[in-house]
Amino acid sequence: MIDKTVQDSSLSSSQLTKTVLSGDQPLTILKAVDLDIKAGESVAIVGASGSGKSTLLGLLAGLDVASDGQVTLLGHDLSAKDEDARAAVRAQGVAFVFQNFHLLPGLTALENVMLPLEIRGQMANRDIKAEANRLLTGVGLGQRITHYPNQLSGGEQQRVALARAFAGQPKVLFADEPTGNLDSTTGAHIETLLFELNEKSNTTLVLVTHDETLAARCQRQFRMADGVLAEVSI
Amino acid sequence: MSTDSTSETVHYQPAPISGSHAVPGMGRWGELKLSLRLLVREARSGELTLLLMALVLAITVSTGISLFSSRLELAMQANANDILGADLRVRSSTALPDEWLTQADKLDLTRARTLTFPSVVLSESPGNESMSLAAIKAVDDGYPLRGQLLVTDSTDVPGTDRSQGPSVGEAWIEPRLLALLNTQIGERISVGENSLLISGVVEQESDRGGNFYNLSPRVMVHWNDVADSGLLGPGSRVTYRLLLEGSADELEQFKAQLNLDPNQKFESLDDGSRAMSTSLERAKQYLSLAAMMAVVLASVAVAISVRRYARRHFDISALMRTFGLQQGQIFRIYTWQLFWVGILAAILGAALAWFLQVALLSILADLVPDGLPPASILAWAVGLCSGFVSLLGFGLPHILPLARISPLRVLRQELQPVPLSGWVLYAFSLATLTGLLWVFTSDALLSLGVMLGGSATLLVLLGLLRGVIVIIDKVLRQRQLSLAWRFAWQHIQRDQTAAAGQVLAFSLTLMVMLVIGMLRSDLLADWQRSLPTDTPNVFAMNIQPFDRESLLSSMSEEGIEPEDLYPIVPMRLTSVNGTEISELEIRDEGSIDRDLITSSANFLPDNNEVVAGDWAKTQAGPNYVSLEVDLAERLGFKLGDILGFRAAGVDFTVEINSLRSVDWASMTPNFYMMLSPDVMASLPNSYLTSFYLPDNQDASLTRLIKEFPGVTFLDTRFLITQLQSLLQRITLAIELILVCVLAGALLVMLSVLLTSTRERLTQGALLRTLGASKQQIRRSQWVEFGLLGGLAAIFALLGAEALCAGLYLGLLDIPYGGLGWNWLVLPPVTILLIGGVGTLMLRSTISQPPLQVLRE
Ligand SMILES: Nc1ncnc2c1ncn2[C@@H]1O[C@H](COP(=O)(O)OP(=O)(O)OP(=O)(O)O)[C@@H](O)[C@H]1O
Ligand SMILES: [Mg+2]
Repeated sequence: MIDKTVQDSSLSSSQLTKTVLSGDQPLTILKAVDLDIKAGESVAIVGASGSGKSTLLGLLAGLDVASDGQVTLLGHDLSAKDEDARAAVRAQGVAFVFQNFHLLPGLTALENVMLPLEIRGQMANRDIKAEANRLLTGVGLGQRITHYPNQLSGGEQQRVALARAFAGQPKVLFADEPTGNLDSTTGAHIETLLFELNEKSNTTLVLVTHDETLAARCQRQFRMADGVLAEVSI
Repeated sequence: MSTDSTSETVHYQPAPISGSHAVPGMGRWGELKLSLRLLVREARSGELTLLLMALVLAITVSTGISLFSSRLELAMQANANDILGADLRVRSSTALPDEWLTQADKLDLTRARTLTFPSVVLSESPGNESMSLAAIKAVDDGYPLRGQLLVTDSTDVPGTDRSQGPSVGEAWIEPRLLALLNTQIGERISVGENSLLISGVVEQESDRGGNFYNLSPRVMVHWNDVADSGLLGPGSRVTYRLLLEGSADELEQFKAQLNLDPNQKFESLDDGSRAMSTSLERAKQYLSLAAMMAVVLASVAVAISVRRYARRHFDISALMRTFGLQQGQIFRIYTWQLFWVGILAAILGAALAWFLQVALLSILADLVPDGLPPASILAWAVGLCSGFVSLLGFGLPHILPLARISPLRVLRQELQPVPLSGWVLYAFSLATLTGLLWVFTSDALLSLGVMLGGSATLLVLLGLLRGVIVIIDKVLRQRQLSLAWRFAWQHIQRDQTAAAGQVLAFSLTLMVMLVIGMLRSDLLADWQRSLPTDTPNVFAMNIQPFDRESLLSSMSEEGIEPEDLYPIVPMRLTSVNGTEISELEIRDEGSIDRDLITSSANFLPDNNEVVAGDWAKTQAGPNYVSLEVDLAERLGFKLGDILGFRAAGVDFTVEINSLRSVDWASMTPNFYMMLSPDVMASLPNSYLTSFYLPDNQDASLTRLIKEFPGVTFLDTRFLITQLQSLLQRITLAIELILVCVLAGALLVMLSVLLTSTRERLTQGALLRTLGASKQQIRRSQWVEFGLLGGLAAIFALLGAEALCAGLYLGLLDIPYGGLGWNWLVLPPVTILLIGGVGTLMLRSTISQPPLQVLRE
């Protein structure tokens, strides 16, 4: 499925380390993580609670700064950039899906999906609306576009969040427990949508999950234990 | 389920990065549009209503006051010469010398003469004994020179601009005098011994000037009816004016040729507007201060609302950062949002401000000149800008953390942005307020002082209140509280500063209202009450020696017992220890820049006390003078100083050899200067006395006035009524602003409430799933806000008692009787008001089904 011409690694890290102060004791959450993910790959990171998965995801996406080591995202060395420059990298095509869906309560489903497109400002307003409408229809919510988040169920909210993440055809999509709060049927629905995106538009998928079946659908799997990352050979 | 969502045209083409900070597609213009779009979407949720209301209040009040002041000031400046009524005006307290007139004629200047003095006018209609104090103005045939004189012959026809004053035997009067005298056009009135026909009503007199400080209604008559009448004996309080019009050259020439006596003066507009200032300026100051309170409270509500808004947008802001927005962009987007709200508030506020200033001006209608010009653009700008300044000063510091939020928050909910340090925040707000106050008062030092002093006081009070809350907490802890009380107190206890702040805002507002209410109802009443019932209420002035005996016998025939008779002479200070007054720094002191009414030191008046020197020597003479001690201090005069005076054209010198303290509040004659009897004997003098006129004896006064037209009777009962109505109007205007202040305090409370609604909703829903009834939750809310209201009322009452006691006993020197029934009324009213508003505001926390709440 992978287009051979974009084989360049779209995400990599070397010796990525995160140390935080817990009380006055330094606590190393990530220990020299090396990772190399090609464009269009789907990757799962599994591991026990508290092992450092979310921390790693945050660093890979440039949401946080590492204590040591390097991250390269879409060809940019994130460790050399400040917050705003990292934001500029994200603007080029990075999207997120989170466990708690982070929809804006004051905006309708449609407006929530329109937001990243509006922020990137690459399309005319009319097109943005049409595109958001199309994306919502794509996740099966075509009839619910004027509903507010509190009028939607958890699964429906997560689907809106997915539609929002799909907006603008991201090159890398990070997801932290995207099905964590959902029942298995709904979760499966979300998974299907995720992998469709991955396949159809060659989006790199980085998933943090507890869900073994979800992990199993990914091309590669990593296991995090106490801050140490190891690839699980399938 | 399948989707074709991603199989269509790829819209998104990442732009190449130009410079490390570039975000594709989203320029400044894009930010602006996005901010507006987000705002419109959020506005639907009512999120910003309170912020908008707070801003509208701030803008309404500040713009209203700004417009009000601007219009007054413009009225002073506009058509300076119209207000002067001439190109050049000379004033004299004695008859205008003939040389002036011939001089003016020789230079071919157009001229007019006026003379003004206070006098009692009586209705001559049969069976109508009404009388009133009036400001008489006699004008010659040259009047008016400039400006407008709008007069109507019939009350239902609008006035026309006249080029001449009233004819001999006629009088034009101000509309309110018609009411005071219960008379109408075509009836007759008497002024002195003249009987005059009311032939017109003066609607506007642009050179009136006196309108501002002289509360008596105008009676305009012809020069000939007054100039030769007995009304103007020596020593009567007459001001003669010569009005001139001509080329600048000729006027200069005229000015150069004139030799002015000390009692004569060229008038410029400055004098007029300075004179108007006192009461109006005072009113303006009070209004500005009260307005400032409303603006401060509204600003606090702005700060709280914006902070809440920012907090609720932490997630969104973090999310937008994951979309690739930079800190600066987020900051600008939210700043723009504030700005949009500001614009909307400015539009609404401007409209309301217009009504506010109209209301203020109509309340103060008697004090302000007619036909005010519209306010300047600058006044609008200043008012509207101050709204924005308050928005930015109080809002922006809370937007800053919003931009600084880490995008990692999307993964780790507990991450909070580093807030600005408290000091920065307060310094910013304080600077903003000082700036605003500066604009209001145009006095930088005062503003800084008020702000620093004010915030220090507030800090102390806030600390005190928190202390009280801690003490109450200790007391309550030892008790077994009911559920309602426990939850109520828990809310207050949780954020002590917020609770203390609300109590403070309410109690300060209530306190000011109490104090003003007290002053309004009590000040004059108390003062009148404090005077013995037979205190003289009528002054008889300008009693000529030849009238003296017959007046006294007429008085005793009427059953009137006059107080002591004082010989008086108006005189002017000309030199101090041999130095001409014009060369001294004190020359501009108001108290010496006019005729001083002086008496002879035959005896010490009742309310006087000798505080320095030797009164016996002053009485014995020769050539001594006794000074009122405050005046002496103000002018820096000491015992032994030699003062030179001119009275009735005679120059003489006297030595200060005693100082007296004087009780000005007593209604007996008081004098700054009292001359040794030997000096007085060498001067032409008139007499002054006062007497008590019982209410039912008005007819006696009328007879005296008719019998002695040359004597000026000053009925202080009129003055007191006038003063009372003046005070009433000013306090009414201030109360209007105080209503805005109260609205500000309510907005502060509502915005504090709103910050906790989320938490209350969840708590209420949880409690209800646990089986608590709506009734129980509602009772707990009533207890909470009732407690706040009760505390606020008690603090307000305590503060008002202290302030009133200080004002009454310290400053005003009148007995203080306490707030009395206010103690019974205020607490329940406040508890009901605040409890009611609070519970109403939170009713959704009870009425929403728990499931819906917990889902959000
Ligand atoms: N800034 C920080 N300060 C202190 N401790 C931190 C910080 N960030 C993360 N940790 C700790 O590091 C550990 C790893 O956290 P992380 O959120 O990455 O775990 P996780 O693998 O995502 O767990 P879960 O599956 O429960 O989400 C946790 O014990 C967490 O408490
Ligand atoms: Mg995690």
